[in-house]
Amino acid sequence: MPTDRVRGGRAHKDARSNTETVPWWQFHRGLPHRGVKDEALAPKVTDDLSTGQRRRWHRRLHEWFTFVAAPNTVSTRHLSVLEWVSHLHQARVVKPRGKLFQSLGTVHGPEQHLFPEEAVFLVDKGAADFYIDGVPASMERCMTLLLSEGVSAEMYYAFGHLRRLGYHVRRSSRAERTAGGADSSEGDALRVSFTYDVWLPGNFKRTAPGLPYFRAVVVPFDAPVPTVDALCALREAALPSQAKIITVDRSVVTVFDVSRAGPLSKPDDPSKYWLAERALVLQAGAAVQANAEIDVAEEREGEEAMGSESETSVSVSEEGSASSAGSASDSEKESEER
Amino acid sequence: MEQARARAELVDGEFWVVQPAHVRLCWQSLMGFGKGNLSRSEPVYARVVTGRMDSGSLGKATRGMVRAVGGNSQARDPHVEHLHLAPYEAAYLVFDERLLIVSGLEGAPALWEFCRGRWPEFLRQYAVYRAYRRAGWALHSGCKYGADFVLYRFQRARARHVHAPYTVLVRRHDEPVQRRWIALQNQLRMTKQVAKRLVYVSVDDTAVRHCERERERWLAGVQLHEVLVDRWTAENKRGKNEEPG
Repeated sequence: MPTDRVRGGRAHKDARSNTETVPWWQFHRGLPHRGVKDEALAPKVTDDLSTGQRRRWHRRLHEWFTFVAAPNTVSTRHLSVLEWVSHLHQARVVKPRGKLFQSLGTVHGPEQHLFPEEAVFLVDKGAADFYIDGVPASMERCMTLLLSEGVSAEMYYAFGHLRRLGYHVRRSSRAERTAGGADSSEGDALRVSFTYDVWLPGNFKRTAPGLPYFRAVVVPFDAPVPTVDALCALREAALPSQAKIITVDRSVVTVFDVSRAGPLSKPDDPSKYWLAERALVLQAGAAVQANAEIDVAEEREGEEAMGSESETSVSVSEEGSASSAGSASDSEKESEER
Repeated sequence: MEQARARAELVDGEFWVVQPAHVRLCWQSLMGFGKGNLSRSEPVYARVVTGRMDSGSLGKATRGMVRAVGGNSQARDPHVEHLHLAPYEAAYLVFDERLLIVSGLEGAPALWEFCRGRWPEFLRQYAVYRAYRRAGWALHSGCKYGADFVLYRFQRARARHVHAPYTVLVRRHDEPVQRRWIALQNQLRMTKQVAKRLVYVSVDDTAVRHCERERERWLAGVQLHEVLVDRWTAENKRGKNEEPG
């Protein structure tokens, strides 16, 4: 997190006055994207480099340092202004800039209010000046504000992670919902409280957001893991959206998905398989018997114990298999389509 | 008309089916039960030794054994293999399929009591095993995949099991799925490595704990909850407008 970067319009003026500094957006090559960065910037064996290679290496190094040294600035035209309203525990939007605000916060008449994490995210992104008590807040001040407002660092990192990837994240409408009306008597064990509702990247309308893509619970990585029943309750409480658990370990965000139905919910008639298989195996067995010489005497020992019933059951199963084989293949096709 | 039944012996706490015909009875379907002690799942050692099966599709260990026997298959008894049944498999064969008799524990209550007393995990594993079997899945031991069970679905087109899409871990109803999130992450990474999906099943028998001795009543009161846990990475979905669901 760039906490010590130069802020806002003043930085922009500085950048213009210093003609040698190239603004960061004019770099086309930027940082090396992939590969061994050490190797690319500082070859281990420099003696073997040809003159051309050496020149290119120096140029690349120079470009890279210039890029890193360039101030991260933003034009005042694109800088929105927020103001902290302490009695509302929300930020008021003074000057909205950009499309971003369409999916942020809540609207009260002419005013738009942002939740603390949304305001801080805008500051972190370099898209807003956030005035707290009349002073533009630094990133440290913002994080302090988050903590004092009861927004944990995990919540903020999860929010920022999804938001940077283009997802629309809002505080969940099911923040205090109990899983299943009948189970409410069971108390806190099955009480489900989602943190965020998340919509896919793309168009988003605050007035008609539609169903969220998933609802998420944010927990620290060292929090206790829920039981199976709790996960089931989570899945049911999120319906018809998906349920996910976001764990955060020092800004490393990991998402677990618990929304999918398991194999028990795709039952199949086992007898169908049983008969179809049995017929196949018996056919295969008959073919083998016809082809190869089998030590019949050894097998007879066992079959005496089984008696003659096995043969009658064979004929029954073969009759049944003709119809069941067809239906089994149908169901398989269905499952493949699914 | 009485059904043909296989006979299992109790050898040092394991259920062995020794007679070849009885082994075949347990494996008359590809959703078979147990594991041959010389094979990966279905006992095929005898068939390979007598040349009735190609050894190409076998595991390394079995191939090695077959090679050790060599060409003189007449010299050895091919039926040296027996079938190992896990307690839950034996119980399922006795109680639900009625395909098996355990020597020394002929009565159904006797076997139930024996298994219940001997293996503390037996009740839960049996309940889960039975539920999935009845839903049309073939369960086998998931030891190799770090789970309690793996679930196979019989594929008619290939006439054999090819791939188990799920691994199942059994939990008590009040037990967290893992101790720590990092353990869950481990489990998920490993499950992904073997191209499976991870399913946790909890067995809730609090309502019927007093009647554990009566199998039917206990099973009627047991509740199973399953949840499929997966990893999700946001990066993959960027720019794709998927419909929720």
